Amino acid sequence: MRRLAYPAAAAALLIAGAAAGWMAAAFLPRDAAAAAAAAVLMAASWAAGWAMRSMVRRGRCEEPDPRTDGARAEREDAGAKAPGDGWNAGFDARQPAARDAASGAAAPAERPHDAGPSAPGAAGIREDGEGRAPAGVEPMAAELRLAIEIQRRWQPPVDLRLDACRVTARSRQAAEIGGDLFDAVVLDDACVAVLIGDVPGKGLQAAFMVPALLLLFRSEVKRGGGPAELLGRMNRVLAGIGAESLAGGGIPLGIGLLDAKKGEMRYAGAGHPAPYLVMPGRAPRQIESSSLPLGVNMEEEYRDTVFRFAPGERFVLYTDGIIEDTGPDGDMYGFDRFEAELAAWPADMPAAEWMERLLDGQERRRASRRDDRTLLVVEYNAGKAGRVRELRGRSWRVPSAPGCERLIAAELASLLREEWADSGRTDDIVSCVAEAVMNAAEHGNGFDREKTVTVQVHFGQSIMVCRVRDEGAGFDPKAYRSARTAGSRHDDDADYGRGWGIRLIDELTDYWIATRDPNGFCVEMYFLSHDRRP
Amino acid sequence: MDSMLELSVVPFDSGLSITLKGDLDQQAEPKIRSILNWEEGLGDGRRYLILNLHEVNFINSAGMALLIRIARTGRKRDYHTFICGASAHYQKLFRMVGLTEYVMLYPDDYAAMQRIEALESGVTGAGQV
Repeated sequence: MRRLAYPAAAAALLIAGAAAGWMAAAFLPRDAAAAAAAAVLMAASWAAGWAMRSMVRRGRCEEPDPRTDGARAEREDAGAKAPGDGWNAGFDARQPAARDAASGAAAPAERPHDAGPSAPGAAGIREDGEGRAPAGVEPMAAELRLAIEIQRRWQPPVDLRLDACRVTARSRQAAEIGGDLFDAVVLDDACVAVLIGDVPGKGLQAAFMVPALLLLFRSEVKRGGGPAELLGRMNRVLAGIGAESLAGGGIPLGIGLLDAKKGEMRYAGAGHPAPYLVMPGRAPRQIESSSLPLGVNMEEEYRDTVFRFAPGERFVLYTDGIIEDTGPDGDMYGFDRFEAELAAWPADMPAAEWMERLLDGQERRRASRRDDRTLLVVEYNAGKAGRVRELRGRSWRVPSAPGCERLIAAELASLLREEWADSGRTDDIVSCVAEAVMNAAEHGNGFDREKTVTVQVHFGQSIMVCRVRDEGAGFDPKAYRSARTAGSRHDDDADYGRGWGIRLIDELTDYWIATRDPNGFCVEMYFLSHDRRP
Repeated sequence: MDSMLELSVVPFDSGLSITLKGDLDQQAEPKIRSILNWEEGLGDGRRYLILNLHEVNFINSAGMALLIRIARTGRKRDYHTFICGASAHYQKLFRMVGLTEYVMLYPDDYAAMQRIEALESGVTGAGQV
């Protein structure tokens, strides 16, 4: 019974944490709810980690078997575990980067055998000599998959373009569930807030810490203020709930607020590696931003650094996993190599390509990879000959009348055919936006012509973001999902079609979220391009 | 906003073929009802309804709900509904919302008519579409 109690406790904590997170997301930006959810998620992450570690210890200690112990020792000596081998084979939900990393030569080192206190979860679980999980571990597989899915949904890819600026991020995890986090939140036609951070530890703790921090960030960023002020507010919430002890350390984070029209960046860091400003052909310049990580000192004050981009300049954020990546001979990648890569970055190479090359290059070193590696780059292209790009985005504001979605659907289809023809997503996007606009006009604004529906779209190279905003109270996506899960279906003809708009959005988008702020309710939809050409 | 839908009806021996042109959305219902009150059946012993969507550019969830209501009514009023000419995208959406439980999808009028002729000549058991 006791053996079953650990996975049961971990599962209950995971589910409670996830429910709290989704509930708070539905009511963003109610700060109390966000902070409460952050607290619950963090507590859940710590407790789930504890339950998992306890379970693994029991799995090792309670059933000694000389045969399997011997086999285990042999496997550990060999240090080789084929990806997908044994009980862990079901973890196909891993992010592609993690799968790629795990399938490479560095895979054994990326799954540390010593499950230290900061590395619970999939990366830290030992197998017995026959490739089976220790007793009591298998029931955790479903919860781990849930944790991976939650983290994936909370951290969609970043590749967006705003005016003359472009924001791109790439991340590769060392374990199934990573501790790095990044985000980009478009605040209006000109401003975007970017975030990068590194939660101590990986596994289940990270799976819940990362959504909690993203939740807190997305909540706080909508309240306004510069990055230093944002970090201060987040720090007070995190220090107030004892995040340092829950997370196993302070949380390094960097926040930038970009005004794409002015080409101006305001940045503040909390114990995060100092970012670089890079101009092709020149030595990269580091932006100093020393301060304590979040959650350590309630009174910590952070400082904004403001600068204007020169045309062609790039702002590069990274996590310490990039610098500390260690080669087979113990040789750390280090700042010198990183700065050399930055200095050699050709003017005409897009950030996405440069980042992939750098990450691939690190992997070719067959490094002993123990940390996630994340890069986030802001490129400023205005005024540079031959590289001026028009805004790839558009907004509409229409009165709430029946059929108001038609005009937007027609113009959006035309825009997509012009701007994103290779994506293969035009029809999906038009259908989703039309449904969201129809819902906003009818259910959000009650077809009140005095109230408007606002639509904003932004294109990146591989991702498109669309926001549809109304002035109503909104709806609870959780209720929709639970109704759908329950398989509810209306047999009454009059009810046919009710809820189909959301169903189509759910099916056709790669990711969507509903948020609420003082100005109304917003459905935010993300679409990935199907075009796989480099 | 007025409906952006135009309709043309071509009766044949055992049914009706309706070609729709424009947008199929919540404003389409009164327009379709003006030429066919499907809740009364097709009339004159007709048993097949072909809806040609080849020239429909836009269909939203309300339009799909309307199609399902028309098709479901056919079960009570003894007519079968065939949809033809829908793009691959809308065929995908029809499957998502369950429209294909009530109608068969055909690439064009000709294919739908061939199927109807087969049904009429008894190649397939009555009632199977």
